Amino acid sequence: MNDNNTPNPFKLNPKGPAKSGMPATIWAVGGGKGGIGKSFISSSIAICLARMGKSVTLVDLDLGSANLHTCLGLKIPQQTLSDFISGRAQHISQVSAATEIPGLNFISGFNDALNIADLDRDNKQRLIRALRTIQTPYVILDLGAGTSENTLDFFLAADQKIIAVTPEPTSIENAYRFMKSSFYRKLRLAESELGIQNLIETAMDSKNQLGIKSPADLIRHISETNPQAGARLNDKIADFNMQLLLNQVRTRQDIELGHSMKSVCKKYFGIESDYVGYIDHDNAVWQSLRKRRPLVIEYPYSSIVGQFLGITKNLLNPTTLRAVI
Amino acid sequence: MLGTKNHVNYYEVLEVAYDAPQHEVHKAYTRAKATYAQDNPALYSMFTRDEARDLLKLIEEAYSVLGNHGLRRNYDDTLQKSSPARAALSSVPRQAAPSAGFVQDTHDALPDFMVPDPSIPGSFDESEPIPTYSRPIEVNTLIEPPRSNSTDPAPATAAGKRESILVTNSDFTVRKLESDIPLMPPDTGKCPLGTYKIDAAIEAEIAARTEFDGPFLQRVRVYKQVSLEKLSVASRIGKTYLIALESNDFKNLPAPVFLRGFLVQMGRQLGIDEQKVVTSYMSLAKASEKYASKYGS
Ligand SMILES: Nc1ncnc2c1ncn2[C@@H]1O[C@H](COP(=O)(O)OP(=O)(O)OP(=O)(O)O)[C@@H](O)[C@H]1O
Ligand SMILES: [Mg+2]
Repeated sequence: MNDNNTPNPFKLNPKGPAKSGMPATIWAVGGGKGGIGKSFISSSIAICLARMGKSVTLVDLDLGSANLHTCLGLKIPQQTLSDFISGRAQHISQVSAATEIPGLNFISGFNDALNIADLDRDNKQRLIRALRTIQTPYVILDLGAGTSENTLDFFLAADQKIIAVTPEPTSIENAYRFMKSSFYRKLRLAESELGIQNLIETAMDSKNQLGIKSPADLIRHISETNPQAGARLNDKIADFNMQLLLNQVRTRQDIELGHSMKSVCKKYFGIESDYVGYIDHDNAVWQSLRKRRPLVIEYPYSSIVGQFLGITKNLLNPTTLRAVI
Repeated sequence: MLGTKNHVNYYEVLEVAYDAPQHEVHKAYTRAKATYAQDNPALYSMFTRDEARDLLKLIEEAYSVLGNHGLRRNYDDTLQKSSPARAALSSVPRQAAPSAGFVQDTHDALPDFMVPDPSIPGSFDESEPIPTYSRPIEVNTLIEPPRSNSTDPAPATAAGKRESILVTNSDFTVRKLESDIPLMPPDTGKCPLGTYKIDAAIEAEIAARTEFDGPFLQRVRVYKQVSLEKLSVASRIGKTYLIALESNDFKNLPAPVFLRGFLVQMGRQLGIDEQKVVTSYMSLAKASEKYASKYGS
């Protein structure tokens, strides 16, 4: 674990790879649309975890337009993931910095010279493997907007896949698009791993006759024609569960949206997701941003922070959510 | 769903657990109705208006059965009869497969096993007569003919390699991709709760076995790499019960009607013959003095 009490926010960690052997638990915050609060959410959740006494590393993966440091009120860091990708830093811990918040470490995204699209396959794999070796038990990924393959792969690598969405139709639409893209990417990886491309292909060739309209239909069809392959496919995609998080809600109706989306996901994809909670729309958010002080620190007793704490607890223990319907 | 034999399950339609108490069914119904109402933004780009309307119909139908205590009981019986295979076919087995045998009388039940015991007269609400059906209860097939708006033909790629369309949406198309990721090793076994390395000797032993007692069930579970926790979550059987079950600790097991359900679940989740498990374990339990004296049979 990094020494968390250092006053220097950018003290580099000279330690090598984790020796404890316990891989970090990764939570990713995605959602497709830009400007809906992904960075605000990931930083707030990370701070909540830290305040709950858990060590956590927040990673800015919005490569190209990294600005998470601003949400944390930090200066532009000197070492970034660019150093890791380029090989200047051997281990990812070398680009991780402790922050003023005890328990919270930060890994800054790329500088402007690099873009997420430039990250080639090998480097991406290396980065994903490295994320697991981070020495804090929790790692939070702040993803960029859009559905680029790299963003999807970071999302899929996470244990908890958080979908941030606001009640606006455009945000909802983009959230679904993001889900579909990552689901299909997952499916594609699974099918080649299982060697059942031909099954999916054949089904999709006659999807109209078969009445296949959604992934749920497709998987159901495969399960019927080839129960064994279906079971294996189900097994593969079983860990594709998403955590819905509604940001900027203003009305009761907005809150209900989370339940609706959960049901739609179930009926469309055939998979369970969790509605982990909602965050009010509140001017305090940009006020604290303007002050460059994280909201969780600036207004620790506000209802928003209460909401974040609840969400963080739900994320720590998702099965209890599923148990109560 | 044209052309598939797949049937809709009312519990899945309302997204409630098989043992959900009545007030939860009602709540789920209210919520589902709001969700698939025409103007709900949560539907956008996922379901068309027609699809939403059909889902609504299905929701009404599901509630007309599950919302009624008597009809629901009959429906559970039908489910139970058409059961074992369907659990394996349902779309994604994250939600624990139903244990129809165990479920049937627990609806209004509170926490798991604090349920009315059918062996105690009067512990059930008998006031509501069980109606007879004017039409047979059949699980209907999902409505709606295929949608015809996606017509993209498979494009020929520059390299001349055949790419096939995996899924097409209004907004994007996913094509199949070549991959160099290796297949699953051939000696990988599979049960509903995961994969394991096949050991031919143990497989043969399991196949030949007719007596399933606790320790043997435990062996199968361990062999198949299923943790108690995982089994407990998937089967919705408390861990203490699982432990009692696996150690033949009969006096700590629930009444026969529930025990039978547990065993069905256990067999199913471990991918072994449920019938054999139930029959042999039940006779073991009933032969045990402590169990017999506790449940008086
Ligand atoms: N709950 C909220 N109440 C009020 N304003 C909010 C809330 N959440 C986010 N905002 C505002 O939305 C803006 C965008 O937030 P943020 O940068 O976190 O979004 P993002 O999804 O990370 O964007 P990008 O896709 O560009 O990375 C910020 O100015 C923030 O003040
Ligand atoms: Mg951002």
